[in-house]
Amino acid sequence: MRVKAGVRKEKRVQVRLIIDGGRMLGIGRKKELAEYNPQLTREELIKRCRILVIDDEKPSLIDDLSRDGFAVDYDNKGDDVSKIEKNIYDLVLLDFGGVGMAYGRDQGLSLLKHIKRVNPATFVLAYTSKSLPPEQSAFYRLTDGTLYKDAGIQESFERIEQSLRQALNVERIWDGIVQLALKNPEDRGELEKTLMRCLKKKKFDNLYDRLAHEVGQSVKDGLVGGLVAKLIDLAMKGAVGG
Amino acid sequence: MGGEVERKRAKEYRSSTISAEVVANYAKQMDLAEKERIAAVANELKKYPPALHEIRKYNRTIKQEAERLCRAASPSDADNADPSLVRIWKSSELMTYQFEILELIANETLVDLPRKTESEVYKIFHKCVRIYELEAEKRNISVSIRGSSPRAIVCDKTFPIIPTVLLENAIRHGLSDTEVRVRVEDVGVKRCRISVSNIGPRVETLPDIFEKGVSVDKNAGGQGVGLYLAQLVARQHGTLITLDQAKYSERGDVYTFALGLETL
Repeated sequence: MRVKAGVRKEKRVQVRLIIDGGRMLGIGRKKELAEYNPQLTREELIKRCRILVIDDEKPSLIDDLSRDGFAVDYDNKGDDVSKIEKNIYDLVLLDFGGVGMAYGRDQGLSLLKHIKRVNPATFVLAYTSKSLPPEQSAFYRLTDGTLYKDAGIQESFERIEQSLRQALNVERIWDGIVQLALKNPEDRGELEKTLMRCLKKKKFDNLYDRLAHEVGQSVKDGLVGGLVAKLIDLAMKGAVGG
Repeated sequence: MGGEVERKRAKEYRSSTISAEVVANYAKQMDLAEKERIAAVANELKKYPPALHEIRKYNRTIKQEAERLCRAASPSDADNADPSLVRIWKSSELMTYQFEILELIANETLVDLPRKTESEVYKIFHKCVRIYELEAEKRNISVSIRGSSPRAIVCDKTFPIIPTVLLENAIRHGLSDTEVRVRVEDVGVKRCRISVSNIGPRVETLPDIFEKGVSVDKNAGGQGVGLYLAQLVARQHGTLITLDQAKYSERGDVYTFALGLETL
């Protein structure tokens, strides 16, 4: 009996070693969402992305960006952010003064709060040269980063490209979907399992059904649907090593 | 007025012809004048942010136009364009850094901002070195930077204040014909060490130079605010700047400011 038990233990150890060895080689290991991030070239990034500049005075940086092939829209007031709500833009450069008056007294900060409430996945860079008092420092806290308004051209390009790559990060987009769709944050784990299964099978009906159940209606045409489509597009590119 | 001290004084100086009422009125007027003075200062301070905003706009125009001209003249390496143009461009870059320091002076709560931006530490310091090289040249000081390029999560609004202050300080207090050395090194797992060293005149007993208002040499032009702010920013990034002093020669000592930083 003792001999048999010893053999069984040895076999268990061998099996464990094979499993661990396989995992080290990437065999049988579950793929993480981050591994679906595509490696976009600069050209692909420029082609995919759309930028919105909200500033009461049109900055010359817009012409520089347009000349380089970036799709840039300009809004001098920021009173109508319906396109942000529809997830048209990957990046918003947001000034503080003289914009967003329709959303509250705190100008750019009020607009920023609105944007983050309706579409938390929007990547927003604080784009102001105003010295803000402590009570308005939330403007920097709520944005995803800062681009000095008096930054150089090359520096501005680098910061914008870096931000666009962050904006197209599948984990970040997934965070936005979860924030918008889930009533109970504790269900995130289950929803993520559904997403990973769908990504593996490359079939997404289950994910749409699950999200529709959460939201209470079809999500394909709404903001959540738009974000899911974006995530799938990027993840499928990432899955084939793009 | 009207307290125990006043009664004692009245007994002590019986022959005084100034009545308590006159003194009280005078004190009241002084209080009012002080309140008005404070209100006037506060009012003037409100004008400061809009003024700074306007200056920054002009600075942006100068910087971007100079950069465009430099890039047009030397597309492969804009830093090698006409030196006078490059000087204008870099000077306006320097102004931007100074504006950020002014902004932090006006609003210290900026050091409570979260760290969100993945950045190359070496690149941030290297950019600052290229800008301050011109200032160093004026004082016959050379600046070198070497090291690895670790990435760290920083607050992009405040972190550049650290290299700005350390370099400015090193150049301002450096002796002529010496070198300011900037090093960015990987130390251990997920950690780097950044150091800025210079050779400056010997100070026998250094005060706590990270305290607000403390300056080693007032004649050198410092206000005693830069290192205080840099230390606040270092704290924001979960670290502290330290200063080490070592004997170099009869001319002076080597001063090394260093900080560790968590990397990715």
